Amino acid sequence: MHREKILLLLLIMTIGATGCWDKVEIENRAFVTAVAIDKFEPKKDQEARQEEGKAKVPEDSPSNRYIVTYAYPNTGLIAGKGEGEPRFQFTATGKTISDINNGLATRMEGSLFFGHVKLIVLGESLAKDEQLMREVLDAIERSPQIGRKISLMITPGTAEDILAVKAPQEPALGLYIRNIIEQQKRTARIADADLGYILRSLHESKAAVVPRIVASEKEVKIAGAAVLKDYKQIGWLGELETRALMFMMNKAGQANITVEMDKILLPVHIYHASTDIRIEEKDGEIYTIFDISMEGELQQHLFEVKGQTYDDKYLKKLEKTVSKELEQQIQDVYKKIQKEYETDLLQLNERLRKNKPDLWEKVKKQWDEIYPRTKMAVHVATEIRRIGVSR
Amino acid sequence: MKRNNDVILSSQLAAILSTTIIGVGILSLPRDVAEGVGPDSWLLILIGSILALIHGLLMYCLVRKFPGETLVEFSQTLLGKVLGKVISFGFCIYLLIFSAVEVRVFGEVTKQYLLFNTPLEVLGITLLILAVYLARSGIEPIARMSEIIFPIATFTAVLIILPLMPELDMSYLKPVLRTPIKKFITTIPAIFFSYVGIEVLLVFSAFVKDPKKIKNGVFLTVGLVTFFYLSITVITITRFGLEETSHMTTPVLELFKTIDIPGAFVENIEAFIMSIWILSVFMTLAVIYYGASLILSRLLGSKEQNYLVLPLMPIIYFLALIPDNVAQLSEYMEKFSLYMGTFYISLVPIALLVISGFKKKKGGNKSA
Repeated sequence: MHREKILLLLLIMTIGATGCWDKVEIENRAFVTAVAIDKFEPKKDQEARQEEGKAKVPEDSPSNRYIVTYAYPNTGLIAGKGEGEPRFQFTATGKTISDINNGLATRMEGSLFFGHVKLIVLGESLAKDEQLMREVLDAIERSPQIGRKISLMITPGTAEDILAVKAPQEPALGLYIRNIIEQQKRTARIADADLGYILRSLHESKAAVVPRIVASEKEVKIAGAAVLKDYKQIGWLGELETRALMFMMNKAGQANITVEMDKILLPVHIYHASTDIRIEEKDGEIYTIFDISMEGELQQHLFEVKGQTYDDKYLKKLEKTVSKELEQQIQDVYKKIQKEYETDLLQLNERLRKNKPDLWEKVKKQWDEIYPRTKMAVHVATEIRRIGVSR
Repeated sequence: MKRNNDVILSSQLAAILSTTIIGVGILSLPRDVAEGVGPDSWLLILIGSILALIHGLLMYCLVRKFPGETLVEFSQTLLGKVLGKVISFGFCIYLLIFSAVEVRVFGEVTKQYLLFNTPLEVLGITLLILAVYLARSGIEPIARMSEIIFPIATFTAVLIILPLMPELDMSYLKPVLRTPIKKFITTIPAIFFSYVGIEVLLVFSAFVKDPKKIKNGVFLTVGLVTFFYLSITVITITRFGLEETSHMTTPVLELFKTIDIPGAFVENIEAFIMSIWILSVFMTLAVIYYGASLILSRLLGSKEQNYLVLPLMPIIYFLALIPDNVAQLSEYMEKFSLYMGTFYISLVPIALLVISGFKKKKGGNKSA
């Protein structure tokens, strides 16, 4: 009797143990680390692709709208057991992204897994198309697998080229790019903007900056930023412009500012900067005031000029020059953002709503018209703490 | 006849109530409050907790008068045989629907985040079988289980949240107190029904060793749950901002997807959170499932409840499969908590309390 009971229990347990609908062997799982999405431009694309000798895109599908490329590492190789290419890459075209994933299943032996995506690159032509851009953003946001700490970037060329980069240092492209982004702490030329920030900023202010990525044969460069307004790209910011923007956003980690004083070039390494943004209303005008305080260190002077740097007065003068330089840069960039692009990248609308609710109630409805007319002021206070080891 | 394992302490009651209250609602709570009152969400949660406390204390006043009795017995004493039985049977149905909601939401969320290909039916049945096992064993194992699960769940959740701290932007709680009162009033149901589950007190009070201490249990429960809700909501809102929080279906799970533990190669941490959440959903389910079977057994006048547990399973299962999609599910949930929830959390205890007051004035001829 007892034995029969145990037998029955074991039998029932086997039923439970077979229920693995979601079992995927790890070798058969394609851990996508990087995704590139481009707009499909029928004629032009076909010719160019054939010249470059890239994978052919089927011509008989007029409904193609996207070209999507997935890159995933050879997990066997990483584990030290397999052989072959360190990275695999698949390109497909289709009407929507999930269509493409579906179509890819007919060509791949593994199943795509997006839980480890580190990078999504968008081509410029896609980013400039509002309809496609909104579709892509929603697909990314809706996906339960894609996290919010990943990088979303825009490239001036085609996004597919980014994935083709064979970086000798790090075969897993997603990780390679992530390591570059880590440098954000060291240089503010890389826009500090992850997917979470971009989505949030777009929801709140319809504007965001997206890091720019440029590919060459063996490396990528991440610097500068694309400006999104109304869910599409409207322009670029250069490296130094991005840096100034990061100062305004209080996201600048470290930076190098070089000024010229008495015909001597003086690079100052800024290692700490914090920005305070205030919005004030004065005589019917709205002022945005940036108070930036930063600390730095002199990196270079001129050989055989003795004693000059070891002098408080001289340093104070230098501090002023550095502050002026940054103030000028910030004013220029702010003008570009505000007058040329008319985007609320600094999320002044949110700041107003939080800190000046009464004022916000008044301007809420016509904010789009009022914003370009607001004024700004910037005050930078630099402290140069150290001058290196020589006087 | 009382089995020897039919006695719990008031602290155990608090653990049961807390794990019952924290269930499926936690995932969408920040969304609902952020959508309703925006930056003043914290205040709304405090208001909700006061309401819950008041109701908890009202129930305490009621059950104190009938030590060792559940809703089935004292509603019959107060309202007469027929009406009492109808009310109790309704409560049983209410708990069954409540169980079905838990099962369905559990299935939907697990399918969305963890097991993409596993059929919803299988997910539901697996959880139900496990709950049957616990519900059959009686009140004391349930109490011990919730005593184990509650600290594990809350402690782990807090631990996982820590790396998020530097990314929180407290300015999202500004401006303070600028929300129109009207919005507060319309959103109060959402937060009040996050405390749904407290009404099982009407049933479980019968087992508490020292009925006078139930009051402490109620305070402890509301305190713990409020602390948990408050921290989760504030963290979600300050991490995502108001716009995004109200845009997502389950902001709390998204929250855990934003965590990168610095220096470690640990990613996709939501799997951990999912497992903790599943534990707490399981606990909620087991408690209300047990409650339903207990009421049914008392209604039928039987001494044991455990043989009734298994027959109830198909009912819960089929109820759980009724909604066609997630949107309909949340619509049904809203209506369910609005009508049945109000009825059993507010109306029934208050009505019974008032009636019991009258009966006592008459001379207490029945309470002897």
